[in-house]
Amino acid sequence: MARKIILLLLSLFLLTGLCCAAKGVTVDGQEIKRIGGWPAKSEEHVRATFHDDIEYVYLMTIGDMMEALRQGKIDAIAMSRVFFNALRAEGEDGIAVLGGPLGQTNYAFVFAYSEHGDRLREEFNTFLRTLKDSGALDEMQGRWMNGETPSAEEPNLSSENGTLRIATDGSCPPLIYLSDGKLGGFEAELLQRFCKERGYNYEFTVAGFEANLASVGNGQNDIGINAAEYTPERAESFRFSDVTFTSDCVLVVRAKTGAEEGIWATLKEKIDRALIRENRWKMMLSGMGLTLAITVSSVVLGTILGFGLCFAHREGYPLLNRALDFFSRFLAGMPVVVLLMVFYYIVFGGMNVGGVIVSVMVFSLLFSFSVFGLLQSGAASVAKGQTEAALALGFSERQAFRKFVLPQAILTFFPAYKTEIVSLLKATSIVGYIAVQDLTKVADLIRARTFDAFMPLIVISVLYLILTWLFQKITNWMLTKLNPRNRTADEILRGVKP
Amino acid sequence: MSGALLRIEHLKKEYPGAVPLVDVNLTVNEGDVIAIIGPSGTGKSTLLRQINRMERATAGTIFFRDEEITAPGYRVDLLRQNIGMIFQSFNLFSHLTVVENIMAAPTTLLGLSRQAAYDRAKELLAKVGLSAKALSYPDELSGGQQQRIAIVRALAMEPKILLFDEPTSALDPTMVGEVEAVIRQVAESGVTMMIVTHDMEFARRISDRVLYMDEGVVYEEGAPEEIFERPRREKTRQFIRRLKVLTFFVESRDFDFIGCHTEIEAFGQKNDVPKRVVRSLMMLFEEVVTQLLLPRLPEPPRIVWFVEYNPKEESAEVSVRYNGEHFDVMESDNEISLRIVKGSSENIRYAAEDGEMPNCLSLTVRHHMEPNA
Repeated sequence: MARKIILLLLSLFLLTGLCCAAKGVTVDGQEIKRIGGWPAKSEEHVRATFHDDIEYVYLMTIGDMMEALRQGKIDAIAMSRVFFNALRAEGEDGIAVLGGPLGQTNYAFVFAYSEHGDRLREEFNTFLRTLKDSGALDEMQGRWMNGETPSAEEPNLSSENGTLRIATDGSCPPLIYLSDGKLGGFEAELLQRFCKERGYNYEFTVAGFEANLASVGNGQNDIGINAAEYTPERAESFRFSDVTFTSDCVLVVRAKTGAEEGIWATLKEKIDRALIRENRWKMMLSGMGLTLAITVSSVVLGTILGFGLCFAHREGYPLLNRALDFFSRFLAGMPVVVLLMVFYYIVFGGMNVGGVIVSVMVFSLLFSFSVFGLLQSGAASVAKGQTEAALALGFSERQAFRKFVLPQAILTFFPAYKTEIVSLLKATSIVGYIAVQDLTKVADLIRARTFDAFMPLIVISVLYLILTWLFQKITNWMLTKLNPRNRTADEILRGVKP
Repeated sequence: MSGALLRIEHLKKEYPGAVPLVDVNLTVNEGDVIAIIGPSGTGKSTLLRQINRMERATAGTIFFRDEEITAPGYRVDLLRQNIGMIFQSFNLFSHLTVVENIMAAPTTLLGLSRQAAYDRAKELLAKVGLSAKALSYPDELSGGQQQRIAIVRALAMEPKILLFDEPTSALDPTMVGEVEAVIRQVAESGVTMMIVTHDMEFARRISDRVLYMDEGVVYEEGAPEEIFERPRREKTRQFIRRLKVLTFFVESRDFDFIGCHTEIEAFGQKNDVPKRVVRSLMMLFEEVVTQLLLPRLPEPPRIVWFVEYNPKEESAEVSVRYNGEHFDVMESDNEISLRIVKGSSENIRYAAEDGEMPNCLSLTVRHHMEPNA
């Protein structure tokens, strides 16, 4: 028995050792152990070239990849040359391509496996072929390949043949990016040309890559435009258009640069990129507004609903109370992200219900059960004699609870309630999963657009702090208003001439 | 039909594992002031809580002004508006001021205007001497003041009957007087009352009927003099007698001597023993048991300390029996203790007997005592 356990532990140890200790490879005289990048195509190329000699680190935005490279957490980034060009165009001098291409990555639009999806895809492919034949596609590819990301312009489109619903993550410049609220990049131009040609208009929602694929899959959106890399595995679940863009996958490493810029100059440049250019401060503000709106609505609705639940629970219907207990345990045990996605993609999947509405619904629901729980423990903390005295005077159970127990319970309930509000504010940072451009999502978009991992995060940290402070001020004020002891003699004796 | 305010017939209350009320029958007439006494756990408080239906009876019927309030579907909230209750722990609404505590029920339940309710509250507060506290919060008041407010709160509903559930048990002894004074004042105004209490002197002075409850029934009832002076039935007699006697069994040197002081004090309070006698009893216990006897007695020591109070003479008879060889503690060589014993008691006698505890010392403590020479 003991031998078996030792053997097991030993093999586990060896296994972890094997996993962690990639031996590394030498490319053009430079040693590479860890390579960072997206999953899918880049990873495929890296694995095909270096097998298990290197460790592959998954990173979600180019900004994060650059930061990891700068800090030496990875030795190289595997990415398409087009993104490298974009980095250089953005003024990133400290990087270089190492060795030759690892392979090619193809990009395409994504459609649903449905009659509607098929028809639209055929229409798009036909358009793509004519564009190719006319040489216009080559011109476009060449123009965007240099990595420039000019401010986006949206043409006037008629909607004679309808409006296409586009799902995009808007965070892969120069292929697709958001600039002052408009779609820009190669894929955006392609979409706009297609729409113009075929008499469509379009509207778009911004969400994460996986969420977009899901929304196209269930028919909420018509086309997914995400700089989606074609892989056979993805093609099992989604229909890809013909290839729209092709780029080499290369290894990007740090290069020795000349004089470092002064720290103030860099900071100024970073602030300029994070906030000033393309009116990004407006995006930040609107994100903050949305975060505030979702939080406030959820707090208000959730509190009302929570009090309702508490009153309903006190009526003492066994079946209802068991259902409430079940729900409260069910909601507590469910990750909020999962709940959001379930509501957005499944419960309201077929309906035209926006992400903001769904967010408010989900957070109100969650908050109402927190309030419900807090009220119950608050009420339990009020001495039993208070209810007895009220009943003995002739008040009904309901009156006794509302007039005498609740006002006292509120005071013990409130500190925890304040904490719940701040937690809720922070919890709303995940609504980006369901296509809501809240503060966090805005920062992600700006990070993706500027390739800077830092400054947008610092800015939103400050903004979240301001919001937290604001909520604390408001709740403190509410508490002083709610505490009966803070009333003046006039308020106590209202309507009475002493 | 009978004009009785309250009629209780064959009332039974059963809890899992206990039956506090077996078969209670009782008629309460308007203007009655009833004291309910009896050992702990005999359902005195339970009976009160049946009357305003804070608890549901297991069986039996209660008529309030000839209406059957134990009938299913009876509006208990309306009933309770006519029945005031005063709790051991006051239960004032702690988030409201005194005047709001008093105004809450009349304005909400009787539809009184705030002004009318306020005027009534002020008038009642003046009667109990607490006008100045109208805008205080309960936790700013002493226990006695809180209980006085609780009585006013109940009176503000102009109830037909007031139920007092041990109204002075949670009070500091110094505050019992003020609350009892208020209860007496209310009794004199003609309000019907039922008072559960352990304070026998109070019960005797305030009531015109005393119920002795035991074995889940009203075991004996009568005028205060009858119950306290001439109880007819065995258990009542024992109870009344036990009130007047106090016994300690000391069977180890680890005996809780400090706790005895509390018991002597409680005994004194229950029987309205003069302070001076109580102090002498404490002193005697201390000197005789711990100073004189324990150092002399063999292991294990055995002492029985017995006190009986005689209210007419205002004197207490103490007898102490102890084990060991025959010896008279008064011949001990502890001069200081002897002087204290002699100074605080009279008629000191020693008797040697046979048996397990062959020594018997008796002495008398008087309120008006000629000092021993």
